[in-house]
Amino acid sequence: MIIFRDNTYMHPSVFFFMMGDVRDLRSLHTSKKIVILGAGRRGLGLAKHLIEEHRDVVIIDNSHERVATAVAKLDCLGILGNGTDIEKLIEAGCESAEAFIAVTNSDEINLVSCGIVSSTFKNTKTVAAIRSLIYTGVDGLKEGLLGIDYIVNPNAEAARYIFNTIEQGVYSNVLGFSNTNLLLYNFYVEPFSPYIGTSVMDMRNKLKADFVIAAINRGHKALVPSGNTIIEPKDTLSIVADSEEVTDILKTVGKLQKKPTKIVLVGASRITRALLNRMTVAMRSKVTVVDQDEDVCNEFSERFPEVLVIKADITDEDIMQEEQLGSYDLLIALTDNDELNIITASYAKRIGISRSMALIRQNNNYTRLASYLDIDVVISITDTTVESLLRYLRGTNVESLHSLYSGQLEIFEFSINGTCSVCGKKLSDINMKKKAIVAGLTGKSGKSVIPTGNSILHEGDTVIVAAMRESAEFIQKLFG
Amino acid sequence: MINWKQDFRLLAFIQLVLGFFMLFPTLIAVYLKEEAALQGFLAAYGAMALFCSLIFYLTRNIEKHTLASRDGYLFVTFTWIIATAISAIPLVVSGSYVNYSSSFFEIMSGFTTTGATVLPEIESLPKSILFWRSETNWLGGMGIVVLFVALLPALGVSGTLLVGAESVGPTKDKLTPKIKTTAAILWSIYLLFSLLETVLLKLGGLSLYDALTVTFSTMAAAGFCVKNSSIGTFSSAYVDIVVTIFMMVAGANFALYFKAFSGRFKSVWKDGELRVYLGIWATVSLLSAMFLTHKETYEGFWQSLRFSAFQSASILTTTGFATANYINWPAFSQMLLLLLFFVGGCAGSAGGGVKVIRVVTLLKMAKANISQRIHPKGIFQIRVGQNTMRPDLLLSISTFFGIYIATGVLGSVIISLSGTDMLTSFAASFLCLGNIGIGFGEVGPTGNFADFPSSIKWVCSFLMLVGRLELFTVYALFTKAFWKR
Repeated sequence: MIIFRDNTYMHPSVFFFMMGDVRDLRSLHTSKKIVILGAGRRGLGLAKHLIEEHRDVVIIDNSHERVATAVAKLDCLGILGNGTDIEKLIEAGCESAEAFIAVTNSDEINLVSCGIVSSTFKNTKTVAAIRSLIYTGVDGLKEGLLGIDYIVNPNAEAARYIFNTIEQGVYSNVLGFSNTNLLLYNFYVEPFSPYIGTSVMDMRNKLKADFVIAAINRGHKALVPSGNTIIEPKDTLSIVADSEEVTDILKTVGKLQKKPTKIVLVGASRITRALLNRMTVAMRSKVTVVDQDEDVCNEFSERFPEVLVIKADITDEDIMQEEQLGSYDLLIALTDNDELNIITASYAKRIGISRSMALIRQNNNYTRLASYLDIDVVISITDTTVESLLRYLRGTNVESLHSLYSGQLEIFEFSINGTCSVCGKKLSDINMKKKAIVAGLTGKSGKSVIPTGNSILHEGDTVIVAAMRESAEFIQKLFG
Repeated sequence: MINWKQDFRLLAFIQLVLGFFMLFPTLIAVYLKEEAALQGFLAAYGAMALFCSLIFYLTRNIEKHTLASRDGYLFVTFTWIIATAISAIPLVVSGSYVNYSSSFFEIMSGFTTTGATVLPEIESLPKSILFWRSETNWLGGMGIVVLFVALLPALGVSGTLLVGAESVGPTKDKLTPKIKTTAAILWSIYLLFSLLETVLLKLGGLSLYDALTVTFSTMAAAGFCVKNSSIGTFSSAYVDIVVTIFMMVAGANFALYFKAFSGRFKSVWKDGELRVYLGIWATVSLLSAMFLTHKETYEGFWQSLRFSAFQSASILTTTGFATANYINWPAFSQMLLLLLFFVGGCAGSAGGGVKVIRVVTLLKMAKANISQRIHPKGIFQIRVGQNTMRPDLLLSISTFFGIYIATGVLGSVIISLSGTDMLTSFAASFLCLGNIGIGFGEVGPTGNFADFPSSIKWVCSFLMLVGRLELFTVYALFTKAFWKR
């Protein structure tokens, strides 16, 4: 998680000192360099992740303060200037960069700068964040647009994340993957849990379920367990199992919830629209959208005739009564106002809605606050976008990628191709330096197994690997 | 202000177009040596020449203005009245019709594609007169003004106005950027289907004359027939099926054929109005056929279906052909047909009536209204197929329906003054207003308007005109606002 404050300030002289070094530094850059345009939340979040993966990051922004903040917080190079200025792009070293990522708040600037880079520097991959659905349509754009290699739509990414979360049943801490039915579920070990003091291996035997403990969060430190790791009170265990096993486990611990169907969406935003687009007509027919803008309501009602659209202020007590919102399975607060989202989602639980989700646009600090307010899932639009960008940058065989425990741990979903070094090997023969664990394996047929040392990786298999952040790059090389 | 001179100059041009189409029956009269009929046509040409030269003289040096919407209403209404007045002349001069009221009624019934007749005996009339009578059906089907816009030099935006005032349905589709092209395309499609039907009927053993006149009435969803017992005269299942299909073709939106011809099948298939239109027809035909089979009116289900499908299509599309005297059907089957009296064809079709899209919209408005009561703060849009109906459109549709019913009911009251029974008065009024042509009681499939007094014939002519021009075009002329400022 990125934490920064608006009042962070760096003395200009420090900044200009760094500017003076640009020329010298550029020669040192290898092909691992990434140029990021826009030092906003997304830019910084992305930069932080990339720097942790030992990449060189150059950030361009036209705001003096934002550049100063970036340079102060992160081990990166800051350039003050306009992203559509070719001089600045050359100065940033776009020519030798692996990728140019435009994540400013302006779709137009992102498009134009990517267009300039892709037409000037043929070898540099270009990535643009385009917020407006008008540009990317429902299914995304063809690659051909202005030579841009990858377009990420923050709204669509958030919508996809929300949709997947709904599909998996909105557990506070379940992660799903793209190509397998395996799920990762986070258990909190209660202080008086019977499993305290047992080793990971013993716990598996006791529970008689097929699962792998992929990671343990102890205090504020994540670790990848071995069979002998002893479970301590207040640990959080990340368990990977297939969806049925998870259901069984949850039944045993009494935490099973049914998949939500009656859903109320607060705020008719672009994310709401993208989310509804993902749903089938049958799913949509049980959805209610509440917004206070009449024009927006009309537009939604026109576009999604099966959805019940209510024009009302959600903070109005009457509307909760009148529409009996308390009888819903799930409330998702998707307005443009973070505080309203948090309050609405929290209040929803008070009036009897089984689960609630809240969207965070501006302030990622709220994600922590939310867990105290009984909100089940908090979606950060910055995080989902950054995840999508990282997924792209890490290569095509990474099917999905999640960070756990404040980014200390990465959960990779790889598809194994014939050329990679681990293909055809037994798991026990792969040296992962105790930095990672293969937590799940799904064959080409779609059948998932919980891997043992004797499992063999075949071409076309999908594996789930939990790895510490610092060894993410090593793991990626190994499986890539 | 109203551009009287310009409107009437255009009106005179339209009479010339009409004059051209009157050439065909005139030639038939010459060919068949029907002297009385020929006299009639010559008299009509005389009247036309007098009218046109007078107008052209009075409007010899006018300044051209762009027409305003009230010019459109005035022009279209007067076009229909004057075209009918002149076209009715041959009927009365030839001696085929007893008086001018009857012949005016007959031609108004022709142009408005109603198909109601004052003739108890048809076949004894001169063939040229009957041909002209059927031809007015065909001209009125796609619209005289639309034809005029298609044929004459570009009228520009004024053309859109004129076509808008004449074509049917709550929304007006413009198929191409230029209204002249749109009008030409509509007429070409119309012509193409007419040719196809003529050929198919000819293959079914009809004479060219019969095939042509039947086609004229089918494609216009009109209902005149040169035979005494309508299509039933041919007593051929093949003819019944061909006519049924082409009645349904005529009752659908012609814009959809354009879309289909240009390869946009998906938007045709997704068209909400078309689906409901076909659905209504299929449901009514099947239900009626099952009931007819049950009551053993006809031998077997297929025979029942043949007649019920024909009769449902005939009433739904407001054609008014008959193959069966449904007055003798069991009440349920008759009630189903009565239901169709309040539906009509699709928007942008040759059919009349309320139009499917309006009925569907009204039902959806009812549904939305109920939902609104359950969710007072809910937002409910009214969608037909892929289209959302805008509030102004909803208002115009509900107003239309209100005025339509009011006009029909008021019409029945006036018609009942002639001493007819309740059912006949009611049916006569609504069959004229809906341009259907056949109804119940004394104006059933075998009945006619011969016994009505002249005054009632004028009332009926008015109802037909109002119905064909979809109320507002004509009623606008009766408002104070139209004549002020």
